[in-house]
Amino acid sequence: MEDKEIIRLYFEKDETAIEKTKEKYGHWLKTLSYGIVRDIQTAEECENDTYLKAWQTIPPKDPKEYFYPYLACIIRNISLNCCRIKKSLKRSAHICELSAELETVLPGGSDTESMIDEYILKSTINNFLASISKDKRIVFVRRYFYLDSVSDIAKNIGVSESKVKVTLMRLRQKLSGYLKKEGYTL
Amino acid sequence: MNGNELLDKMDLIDPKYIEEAGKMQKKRNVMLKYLPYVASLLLVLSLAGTYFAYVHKSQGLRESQILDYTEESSQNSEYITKHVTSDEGTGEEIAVVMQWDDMTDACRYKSLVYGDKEYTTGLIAVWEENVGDALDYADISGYDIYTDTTHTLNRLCCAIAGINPEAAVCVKFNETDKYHYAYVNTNYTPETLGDFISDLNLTETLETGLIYDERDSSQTIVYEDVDKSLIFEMLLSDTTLENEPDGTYKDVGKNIFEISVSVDVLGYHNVTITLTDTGYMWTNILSSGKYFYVGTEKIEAFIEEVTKNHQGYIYIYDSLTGTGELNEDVTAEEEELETVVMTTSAAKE
Repeated sequence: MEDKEIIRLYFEKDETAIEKTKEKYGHWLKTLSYGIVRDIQTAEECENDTYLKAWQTIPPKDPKEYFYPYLACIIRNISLNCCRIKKSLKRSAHICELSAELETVLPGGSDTESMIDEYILKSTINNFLASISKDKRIVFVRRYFYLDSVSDIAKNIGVSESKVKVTLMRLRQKLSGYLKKEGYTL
Repeated sequence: MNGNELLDKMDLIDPKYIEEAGKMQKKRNVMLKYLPYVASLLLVLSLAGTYFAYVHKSQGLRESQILDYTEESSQNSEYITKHVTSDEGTGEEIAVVMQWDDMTDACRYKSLVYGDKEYTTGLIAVWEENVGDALDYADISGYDIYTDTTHTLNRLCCAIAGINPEAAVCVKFNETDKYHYAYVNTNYTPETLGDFISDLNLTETLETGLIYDERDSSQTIVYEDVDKSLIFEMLLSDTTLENEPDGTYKDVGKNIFEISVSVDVLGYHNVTITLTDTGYMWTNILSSGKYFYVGTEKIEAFIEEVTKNHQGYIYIYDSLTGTGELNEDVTAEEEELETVVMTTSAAKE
């Protein structure tokens, strides 16, 4: 079923919307969540919470052009929060690692309070992503959106872990430059 | 803001980038799984006497990849400089291997055996009016790398109108499908240039494009709009020329002129007919190399005709998509720096 037809079901508050969503994207969403939480039961809980959130937010949201990314964002956030709340999950250490990496992006680090307008941040991140090659963009997005491990990314693209790490480091440096340029102030 | 918060804010990434990266699968090392197939293919190609991989590297851009250009007349030069904005990629495309269920039948079933010959998918649909006589039933197989399973179908094989089945055939996967799909015999070896032209109906199916003058290693001159009839008249007219498929075992000389050609009906785009300084004309149409000795006189006459009567351009490529840094060497300093970051983050937990 086309995304726009599934979205129409949400607008009509037809409960088959969730069934159709699960049918089309359930596998991908659970995989995404499992990649973050590394626990099947938790991933299933996150998946179900995602459908609930989608049901609650559509309408007024109308993500027919990018339905999968919309769902991916929801499940990502739910899964991330799970990792933080349930410290027993093995992946909580991985989330710390990712946060620490992104801390290096921030001019001034985390010790200094700074405000950054969300609109500016969104356009900065996306301008940065538009400026890099597709290969590098995929590495960045897999790491910091999908929260893949370095070894998974390396395996999937067929390069060494060392190259992935250095690519990420260079990309973070570049993103940091973008943030400084956009007026991220101390 | 701290790193945690920035991590959360990554959901501000544009949906198109999320979707772009979302097609990757976290699975087994697909490169290792493909290694036997790649090794077999390389063996076949080397035995057939082709520089397939080399040719693609030296190809230049597909014309369809040229998005825009601006011309500048060079002073004191017979050539015009053309800035070409292209979508050539970094050359390090990530090999995204789709799930079996997500692929079309044409992508799944890559091999076909008809008679004693093996054919490979051309990944091209064949219009109904181009489907020829029904031949015989053939086994088509495909390999699912994720489940380590080979799937096989048995389907009626048909000819492609005007094309010798020794070179290519087509099949329809399901009765309800709109199209047949072409499969090509990459080991196809014509005896003569005449056989090659008629077996593939090249007078109808061959399309020619840009011509690259590679004689001067410091620059490539590009010729546009050279009529296909000139190529047929001056290079492809002697149909008695014998194919010398053992080309790799002899020195056929240096490539000096490359003619970009396509045989769309068989899924071959932007392959070449190449002329060498020792009088050979060779091509990788249908993947394996075919070598014909046309003689240096004919080649020189063709070059003179093209260079004297057509405008030459010097293309300057302005790529949109990066410089291929993914394969740059890692410096020891960077490696150490990255280790420090990783160690610090581990210590924080």
